[in-house]
Amino acid sequence: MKRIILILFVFISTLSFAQKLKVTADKNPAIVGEQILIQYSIDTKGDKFKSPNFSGLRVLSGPNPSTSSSYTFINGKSENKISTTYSFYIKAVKEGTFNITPASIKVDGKTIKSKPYQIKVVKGSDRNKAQQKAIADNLFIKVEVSKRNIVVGEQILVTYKLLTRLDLHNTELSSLPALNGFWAKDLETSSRFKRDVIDGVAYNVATIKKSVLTAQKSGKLSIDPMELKCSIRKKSNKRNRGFFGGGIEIQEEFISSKAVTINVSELPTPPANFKGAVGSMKIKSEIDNSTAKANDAITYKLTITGTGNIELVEPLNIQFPEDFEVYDPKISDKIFEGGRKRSVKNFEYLLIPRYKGDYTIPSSSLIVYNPKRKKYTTQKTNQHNLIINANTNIDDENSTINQQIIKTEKKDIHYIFTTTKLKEIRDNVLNKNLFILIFFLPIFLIILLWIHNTIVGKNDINSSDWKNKKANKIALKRLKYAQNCINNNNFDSFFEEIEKSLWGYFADKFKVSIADLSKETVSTHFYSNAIDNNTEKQFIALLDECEFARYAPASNKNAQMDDVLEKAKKIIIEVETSLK
Amino acid sequence: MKRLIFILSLLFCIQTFAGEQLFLQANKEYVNENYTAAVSLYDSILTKELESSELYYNLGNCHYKAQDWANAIWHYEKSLKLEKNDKTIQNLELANLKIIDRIEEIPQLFYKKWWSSFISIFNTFSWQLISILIIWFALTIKILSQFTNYKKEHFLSILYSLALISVFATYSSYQGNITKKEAIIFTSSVVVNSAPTTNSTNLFSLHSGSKIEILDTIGEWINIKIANGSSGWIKESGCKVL
Repeated sequence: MKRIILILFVFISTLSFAQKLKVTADKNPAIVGEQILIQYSIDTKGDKFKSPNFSGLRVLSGPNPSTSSSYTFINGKSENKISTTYSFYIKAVKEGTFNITPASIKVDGKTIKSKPYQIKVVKGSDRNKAQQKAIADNLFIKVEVSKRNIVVGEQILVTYKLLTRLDLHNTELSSLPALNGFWAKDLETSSRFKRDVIDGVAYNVATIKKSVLTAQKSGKLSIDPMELKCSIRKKSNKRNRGFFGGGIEIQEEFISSKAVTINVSELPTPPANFKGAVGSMKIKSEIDNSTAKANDAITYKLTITGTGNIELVEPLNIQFPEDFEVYDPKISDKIFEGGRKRSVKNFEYLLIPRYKGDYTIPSSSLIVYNPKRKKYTTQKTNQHNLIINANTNIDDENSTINQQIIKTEKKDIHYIFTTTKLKEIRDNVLNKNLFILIFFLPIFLIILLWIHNTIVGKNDINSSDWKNKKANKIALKRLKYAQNCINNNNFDSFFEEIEKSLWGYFADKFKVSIADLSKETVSTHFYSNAIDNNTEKQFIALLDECEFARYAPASNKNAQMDDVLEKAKKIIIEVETSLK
Repeated sequence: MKRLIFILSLLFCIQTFAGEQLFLQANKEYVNENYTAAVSLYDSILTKELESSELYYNLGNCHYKAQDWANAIWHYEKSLKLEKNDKTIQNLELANLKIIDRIEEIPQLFYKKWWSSFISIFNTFSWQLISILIIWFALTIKILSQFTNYKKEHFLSILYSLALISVFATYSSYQGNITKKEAIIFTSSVVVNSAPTTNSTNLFSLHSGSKIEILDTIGEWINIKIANGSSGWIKESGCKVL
């Protein structure tokens, strides 16, 4: 028996080592409208608790973690116990059976899951129901929304009022409404109770919360319910009244407002420079000095007054002159009721003109969408003319000229064309085949002509003419240097040049080596090529003349030179034409 | 017949006049920064089957101001197809800075660059006319020299080479402007596939405003190539052909 107990004991201890995440509920089944406390507990330290999914049940609060540790010392044996508990307060809204999915926790890196849990919610007894109803009738939150259909950027005022006919001991906000897609600004409220009569019933009314919401996106945006934990003082109906006439019982009750949906519609197609200002606003610009000295500060003040999302208006894009040093604007505002009452926003720019001259600060515009009139209006500031005088205090402005490199930092597209010549839309090209036909037809004709010429055109009448022209060209080329000598009046080298040219021509033409050059070779070659005897004589006579002239100074060299050059030309042409 | 031609030409004149009036009206709207109104007025000219380089340029400007970059680029490119203009090229460069994709162009060899800038002096039709005129002129000279003593061998050879150059230019211009199909991506993001099927490998993605060249079409798929040389397949619906 003892052994069995021992074994059991060991078994249990190992069992307890395998940790379990236990789920408990304080009441199951629960009654509709009741609060249920659900606790997840484990006997060690754990972290990364994953909440279960309470489908169909409303979570009032939680998970609220708590850890407890106890140290026991029994019979010399010490034991340290730690337990972790996560508790949830949930509320059963309707009757039925609700499944709570398992929660999980991490212990020493291992994930431990709880068992799924089932909660039954049953209809309360009539008495219970009546009690619930009595509370609901006498204690509720009323949400007042100034407008339900708005456009993006428009503002609404949301007021949460607590109406009660019960004796409230204490109230506590348990969950703030989540405002998805709104920019909210809370207004100050006095939570003092006032008496108000609604439908002939007097209530104590307190404004709990008042906020101005600015819609940031379009669609059906919902303002989630606000939840309040109220402690109601009740006269106890139990008999055991205390000595001091106590017998007051405090009942806790969670009440919540209704969710409100706001229809936010998109703005009608906004103009290009629209920055999201919605409301009715006016814009004004001021300048403290219209004449100033260079390097003295000027203040440019832009004031936007009006109602709407004035707080969200960003600084305007003002085109200050390039020569001005501009500092970031000082922004100050006086917003009343989040912009629902006439508010003011100021932008103060500090400008420092660097050079003297006449400048203008152009008017800048603010486009505002007016939700009442449902249209865009453009508010414009005045244009300011500034006269900046030279600053006499600073000397170097006059003595050294501060030159500026002209540069365009901002790039924009070019302006549109103002005139045009319209044409019909069509491919303005010739058809490929048509083009080929038109283009290649003349080529074909030219080729035909060329073939005709090569076959027929050999014995052309103009061929001798052509030959003459060519011979002339060769002569001119050969006697180029000699011609140069005439131009420079260089007598001595002229004759030498003529001689050289003639011999050179002869050598090249008849392919005679320079060593073989002599008057005999001239005659033999001229003879073998059937050149006129006369020409040969002239050729040799000219060579002789040149030789003679080189050594015997003549009286009229200029005339002789021209004469010799002419002769040389003639001989070369004659030789050329009689050849072939 | 003559009367018919006269009436038709008169109608055309009236049509262009009305178009130009619309153009001026649209310009006024542009000045007043009513870009959507300006766009619809300019578009109404296009529906009259009339166009001009300036019209597309102005439309591009409107879309640019309305920050519709893909449309702006499309219209600038269209304007450049009709006529090259520095203003248009610069505006197109600015619009190209606004879009998501930055496609690095493959640098062209210098002679190719020269050649393409040479070709862009005239449009395709002018090139066609020029080459036809030159070759016919050459033919006339040739025939003249055949029957007279007037010899112009040099002049003729110059004409032949000019004709050769111009016919090459015509060919390139035709290839570049008529045969080559280009388009601009209009959907905000498009995935380029390696093959004309949805489950093929995704190569890269393109965003609205990028220029593509269409190489081939199979059904609703088109084979595209972008300026950096990459190619792939996208659905035709994602882009608008220039």
